[in-house]
Amino acid sequence: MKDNVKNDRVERLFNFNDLGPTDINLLRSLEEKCLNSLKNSEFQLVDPPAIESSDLFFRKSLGSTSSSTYTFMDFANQQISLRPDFTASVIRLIFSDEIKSKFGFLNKTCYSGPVFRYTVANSDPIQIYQVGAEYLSDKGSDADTEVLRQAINCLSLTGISDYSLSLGHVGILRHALINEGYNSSIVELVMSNLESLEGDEGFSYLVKKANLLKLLKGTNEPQAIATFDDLGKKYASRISSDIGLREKQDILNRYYSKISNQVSEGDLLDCLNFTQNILGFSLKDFLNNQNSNLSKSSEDYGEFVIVIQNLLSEGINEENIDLDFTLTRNLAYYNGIVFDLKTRNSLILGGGGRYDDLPQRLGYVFDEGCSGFALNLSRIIELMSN
Amino acid sequence: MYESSKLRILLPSSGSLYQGSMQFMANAGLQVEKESDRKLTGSVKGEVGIEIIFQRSGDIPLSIDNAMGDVGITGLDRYLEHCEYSKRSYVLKENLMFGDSKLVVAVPDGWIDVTTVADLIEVSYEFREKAQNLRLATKYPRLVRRKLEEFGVTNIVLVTASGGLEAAPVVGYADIIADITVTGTTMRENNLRPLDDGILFESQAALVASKSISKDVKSEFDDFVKAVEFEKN
Repeated sequence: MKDNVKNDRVERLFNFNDLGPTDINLLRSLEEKCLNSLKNSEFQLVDPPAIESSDLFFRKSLGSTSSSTYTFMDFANQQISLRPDFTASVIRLIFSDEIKSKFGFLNKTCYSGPVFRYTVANSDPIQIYQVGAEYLSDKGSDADTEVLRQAINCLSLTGISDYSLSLGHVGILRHALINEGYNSSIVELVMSNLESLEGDEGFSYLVKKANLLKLLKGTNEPQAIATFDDLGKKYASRISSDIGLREKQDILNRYYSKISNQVSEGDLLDCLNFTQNILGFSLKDFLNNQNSNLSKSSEDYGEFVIVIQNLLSEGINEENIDLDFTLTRNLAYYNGIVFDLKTRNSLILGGGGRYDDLPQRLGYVFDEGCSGFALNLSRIIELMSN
Repeated sequence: MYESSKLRILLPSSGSLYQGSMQFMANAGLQVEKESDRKLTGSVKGEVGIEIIFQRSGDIPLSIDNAMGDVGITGLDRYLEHCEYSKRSYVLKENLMFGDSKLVVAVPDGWIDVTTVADLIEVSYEFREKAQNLRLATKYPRLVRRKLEEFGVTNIVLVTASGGLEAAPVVGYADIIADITVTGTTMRENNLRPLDDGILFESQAALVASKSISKDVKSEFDDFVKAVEFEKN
């Protein structure tokens, strides 16, 4: 019961860390090394505010990080947030009229500073120091290679030489599944649950989930309805009631598509087997697989192979690369290559990838490529201290 | 933080949680006495070291969290909404076997294409494509946000409302709702339909406690904990 006894001392907040002279000096030194290296590669240093409109971060992640983002109402009754990462703020800065008029279009930027993420179930610090970069350029393997090269270089500048690179691609598997003829509802189900396929119960879990979501044939009563017009007649009175901002036609279209897209359990299992086969590929399997359906599935495959070959030719050891198609980081956000930099015992030290749609999602007109990375300097100095 | 030489217990002042709390205390051998129905303070028969304060059940979580009381009874949903990750208070005992409720997501009945949370996710993207936000009205924004994220629903704007949620889609300030329901009758009467898998949270009354209990009342607190451990429900 000791913990329950009153203590009048003001204490440091839970999961926030004090940095003493040794740690802060180490952090500043690593930060400087990384930023100098990035600046030497023509990345320009920027520093957006730590507090922004909450909408900026929620639009970026489509709300997926909203419960870990510190959000407040300010004195002007605006909803504001402490940045959970730099990317959205840096993109906003790049497209701001003021910055564009003073400096032109900053397509290569770097940054460093604290980010804030509320963590519930573990003892990870809430205030994390990051260093990273954003690269707006053509879509393709050159930019992906550049971002990976800079991330790996920064990590090595911190003194971490024994690392593994988990490398995945959100687009390749999706295209392969679509090319195989699996319908969109099943593809989305599988893509959103890739990690569950690694466990023994993965197949039965996904069949159960597909049943719950009424994606499988024989689980939904409107099977008998043959045509779109029949649906309209049957549900005319229900969809005449208050339906808010939605259009009747949208509701009927979606309902019809939902019914007509139902698949058999056999089709789902076939799709799961196909997916599991791809997830089991090693780097060698993948590079040797250029005549398979996977390689024909999209341009992404060819670009991805080039990125891997570039890394290998630049001296990255093959044993350091771990191909991982379950790595999606956040499906709502990434649309191409994704990666994590880890210690040998799987502690994530940084990561990044491609998110071409992000500027558009934040309201800017831009249809080229957008990618970046960030390293968790707090974790790196913790590792070095230990 | 208040200073008192008595263990301060906060109980709901009205409704089914009041009735259930009084019965719960009695089952633990603690007979709560109150001079009149309107009086908001009370005592426990034969226990001079305990004082009772009656509060709205919705206010009890923050009162306990701010150490304005030592222990209290409230709905688990109310407590988690305000204090789930608090380091200043904790749930001493869950599932007190009264005050049952379900926090449920409901959509307009005319949305015939939406029967599951997965449908809701797709519809949220339909809104986004039209540069609109799918808006959900609730009294429990934090709890709903966390639970929806567990379900993978992220692309929704929460509108905090204090009452009359069922009218939100008609009035126009939200498209769907998440609210406490027992039978779903009020929702149905307002042309709303709970999703098949839309139960975000099931709750009962819970006993919650402050982590800042004074040394002066520690023995009363320990006795109280023993008493409620053996409460016969």
